[in-house]
Amino acid sequence: MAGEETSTQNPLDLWRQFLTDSERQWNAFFKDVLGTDTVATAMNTWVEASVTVQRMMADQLERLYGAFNIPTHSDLVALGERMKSIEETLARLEAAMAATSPEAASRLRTRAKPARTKRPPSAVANGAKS
Amino acid sequence: MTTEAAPQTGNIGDVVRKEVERTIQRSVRGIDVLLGRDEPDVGMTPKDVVYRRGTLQLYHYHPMSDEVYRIPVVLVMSLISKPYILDLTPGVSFVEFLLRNGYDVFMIDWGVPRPEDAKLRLEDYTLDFIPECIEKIQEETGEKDVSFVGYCMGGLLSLIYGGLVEDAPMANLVTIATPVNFEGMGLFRQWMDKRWFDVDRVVDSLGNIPPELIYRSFELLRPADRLVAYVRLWDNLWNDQYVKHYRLFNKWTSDQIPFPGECFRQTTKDLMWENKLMKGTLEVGGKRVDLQRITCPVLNAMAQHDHIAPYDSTNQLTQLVGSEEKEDVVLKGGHVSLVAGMNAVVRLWPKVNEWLSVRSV
Repeated sequence: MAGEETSTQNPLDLWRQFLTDSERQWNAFFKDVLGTDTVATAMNTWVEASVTVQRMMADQLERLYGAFNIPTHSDLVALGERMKSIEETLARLEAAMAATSPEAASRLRTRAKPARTKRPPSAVANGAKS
Repeated sequence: MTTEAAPQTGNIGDVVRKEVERTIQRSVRGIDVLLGRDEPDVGMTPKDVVYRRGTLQLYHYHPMSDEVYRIPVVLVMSLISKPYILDLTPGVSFVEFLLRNGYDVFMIDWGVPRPEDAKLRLEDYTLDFIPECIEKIQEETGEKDVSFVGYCMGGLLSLIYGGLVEDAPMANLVTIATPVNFEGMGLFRQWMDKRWFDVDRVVDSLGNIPPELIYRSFELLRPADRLVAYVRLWDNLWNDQYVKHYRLFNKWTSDQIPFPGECFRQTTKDLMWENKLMKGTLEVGGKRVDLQRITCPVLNAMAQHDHIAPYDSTNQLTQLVGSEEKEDVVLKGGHVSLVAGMNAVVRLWPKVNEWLSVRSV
């Protein structure tokens, strides 16, 4: 009829709503399934099996590397711990130096610090009214 | 992220034309996404590292205002994920928001745990690292008191710190999606039940918990999300903003880090299994965590649709603290969208600013 506009809804909007609803329903379904004792037990059995295999392989590799005099994972972890200890000692020395020479430490800070005087907008507005 | 509905149009021809244009744009941007071109830069707000210890870095962000509030703010991140979720990109950065609103902002970045960090426990974080960071903040600012803003496990670490240290210099505490009642942790609690989860075997064998295990367990909470996200991405490839935010969030969710083994053992046994924090029996470093020691104002922000730290796990936080001034707020969003992204820009961030500003002078 004259003067009457026909508006056409994008058919893809129906698909998008279907997508949102499906997502919600599938997540609810999986939540119920994955929340059962059976599935939880199965998941942890899988995790334990993976951990066992990983442990076995790690042990084998340690023995193999040791036989060929190649650093093992344990060697690298121990090295990391020694480096961590060295880092902490260096940090303590740096802090001690900064404490004995505050002028040197302050020279490193070239950025001006803003005043710590800010008031919240509500306080500023109340101040302006009064 | 949900798909933006196309506007209703006058006739089917306009609808078809619009979709054809979008399909062309999808093809162009799809190649960028597939090839990983123009990856978004994250964590770019200018900052100085004012303290380092092992992998820990304490950041002091450069101010963005001529004057700042007296009381500085320290953002305490979770151990499970990288901190740049709070500093995604200009315009969508909680750090930048706080700076522009006049706060003096620090952040504790725990870093990526190394194999030797597998021995770290809650006492290391709450009785050693956090106090050292606070001491450094006090030196930097000349102020004794500090406002804590903790996200997820960062809020938990802040609570434990406040519950251990007598007269902790905690001026205010904002907890965001922070679980305290582990009986309400849903699927995580079910999967980690002591009847079938041997945490000792896992930690003794692996040391740090691998990031892949953590990532998969998060995905299993809502398995349909990954596939639907790809479909929605395809549908919105024509939309620059959508693609940008998708890539930012996808980068962060995939960027998981290991979880220190001993800390994982401790949180599993004491929190997940025994729920000791709720019962008031949690001991850290041989000392009981008494949340009644926390008497500063507390704001507890929770997400309406949080599937990681469900409402049942977060809603009792304010009942545990000794504060007289405390407020719970439930906002629309999920665990991540509560604190980051456009949802956070219009909901959580203004709320935090409104609450914290009057308590930071």
